[in-house]
Amino acid sequence: MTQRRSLIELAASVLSAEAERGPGATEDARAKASAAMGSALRRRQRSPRLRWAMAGTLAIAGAAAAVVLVGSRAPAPHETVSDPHPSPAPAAVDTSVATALASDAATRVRRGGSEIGLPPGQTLHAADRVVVGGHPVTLGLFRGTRLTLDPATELTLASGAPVFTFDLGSGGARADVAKLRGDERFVVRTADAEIEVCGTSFRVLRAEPRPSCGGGTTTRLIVLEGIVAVRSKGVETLVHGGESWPAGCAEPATHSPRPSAVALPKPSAAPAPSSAPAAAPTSHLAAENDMFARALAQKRAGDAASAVATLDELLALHASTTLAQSALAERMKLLYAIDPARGRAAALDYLTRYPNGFARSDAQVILEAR
Amino acid sequence: MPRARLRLVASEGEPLAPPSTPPVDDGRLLAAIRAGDQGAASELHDRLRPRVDRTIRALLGGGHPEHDDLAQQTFVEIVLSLERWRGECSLETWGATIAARTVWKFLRKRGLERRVFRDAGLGLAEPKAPSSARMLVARDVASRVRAHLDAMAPDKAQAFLLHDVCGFDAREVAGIAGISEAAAHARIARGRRELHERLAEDPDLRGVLLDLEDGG
Repeated sequence: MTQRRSLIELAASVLSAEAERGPGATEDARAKASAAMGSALRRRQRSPRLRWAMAGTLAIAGAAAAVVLVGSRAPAPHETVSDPHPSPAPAAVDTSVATALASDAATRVRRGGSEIGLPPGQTLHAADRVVVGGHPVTLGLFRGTRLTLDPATELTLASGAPVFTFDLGSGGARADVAKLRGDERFVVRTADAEIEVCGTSFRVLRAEPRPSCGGGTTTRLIVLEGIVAVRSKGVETLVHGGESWPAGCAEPATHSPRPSAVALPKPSAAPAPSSAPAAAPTSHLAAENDMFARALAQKRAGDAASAVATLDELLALHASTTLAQSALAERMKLLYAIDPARGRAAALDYLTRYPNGFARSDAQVILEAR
Repeated sequence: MPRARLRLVASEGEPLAPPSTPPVDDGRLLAAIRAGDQGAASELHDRLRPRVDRTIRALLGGGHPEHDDLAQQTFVEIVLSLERWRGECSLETWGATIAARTVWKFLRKRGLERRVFRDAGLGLAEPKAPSSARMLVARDVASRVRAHLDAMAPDKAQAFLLHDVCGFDAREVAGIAGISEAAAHARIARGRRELHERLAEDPDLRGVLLDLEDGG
């Protein structure tokens, strides 16, 4: 007869199982820890005596010391030339808002009266203004929150915790926001609208004003998941996943309103979406946004197959769309629900194209779930 | 309230972590790190990270807001104390010990003597494992067990967690807590006894634990 385990053994087993089930380290956490190890390594190389001092400091100061190692990174004199991550100011952690996860060599950060680059790992502070170059830039914030900025976007990090506020001057951004706690808030402002979120994923774009769309607002919003509150002209509207704001606008999302060096493409042959007014799309980007929104609506309606078909059509018609990564990420998750084998193939395709993409964790979960 | 934290991640050109690499002699790996090999340090991180994460979760519960920071502190401490590893245990166990000590110091520093655990939310990276009813029940049971531990004296609760959940022996528990081995034995025994009494006086939780056992 099998001996029944004691209550203590059962309790310990439950807690062990819970600890085992926890998620693996995110790419953010992994790189942060590796960077901290590198910093500690450099200190070891400089001074054997410093090793014991640092060990003592860590033992006493705990979390504050670890943050100093990562956050300030004021280079020692002999590191100035080779340090790839210059710290223009010994910024206190409390003023930090975000960190560059994936960047572009042409992207610049305007800070005070100066201008610096934005290499991966660079810290951004309140009041920094990011001017994106030719490739998307991804910023990491609290608890996995990410902002992906489209090329030629201008975004100012107006304030950090607890009210994270961003001013979108031009271009577009996708935000994947972790669930907020306490008095935290996450707000994106444009010239004529304010968007506030609570644990969701959305895209916000600047577009040319049209009187027939939202009373001439230059802001376009597509909510991918969750609920977003939009306040404009004294009116607050809740926009749900799969919906867009203003409703029914088939709008181009230029990097407006300044004159852009990128000419708008000729209108495509893609059919106007059913939710749009009769006016045909005036650019590829409008059709792309509409198709993506339609796919999300189909997903919310429980029609995964149709959502996949719409995303396939989007990717086939607009191979170079800025929504490609989002479309592939949604597609792999939908496919996995329908056919795990196809989902794994889609996840592998996603990782091949976007090895550091925002949905990398999802792709890896799909690939590992056998 | 947790404040915004910094995340330093790999640059765009860095490849994914390799799915599997041949095992490297532990001594050579540490020697490479001592020589300043950042690649070896990253390799050590990837190897020890799962065990470090499990240890922190076992002691603080899943989704603790300081989890990543504590893991980072652990790895910094590992780099700074490479000379202390003498090969008497596996690198994984050594890493887990340092993680446990890091958590121990964190709790003492934060003055959480009367609160071992805190509520934690889920982050975006939480894997979306299929939520069967059984898993949901297990999560609830774990929370209720932790509530009992939270009501106990921290030294006894931590001793139980270190010994019965993390798997450290009394000597290791003593090293982590900075106490004598005899004191560690005593704390473990008292912690187990008190938790047993609490569970025995909680018929509902006791029944659920036994049901989970019977369920396989």
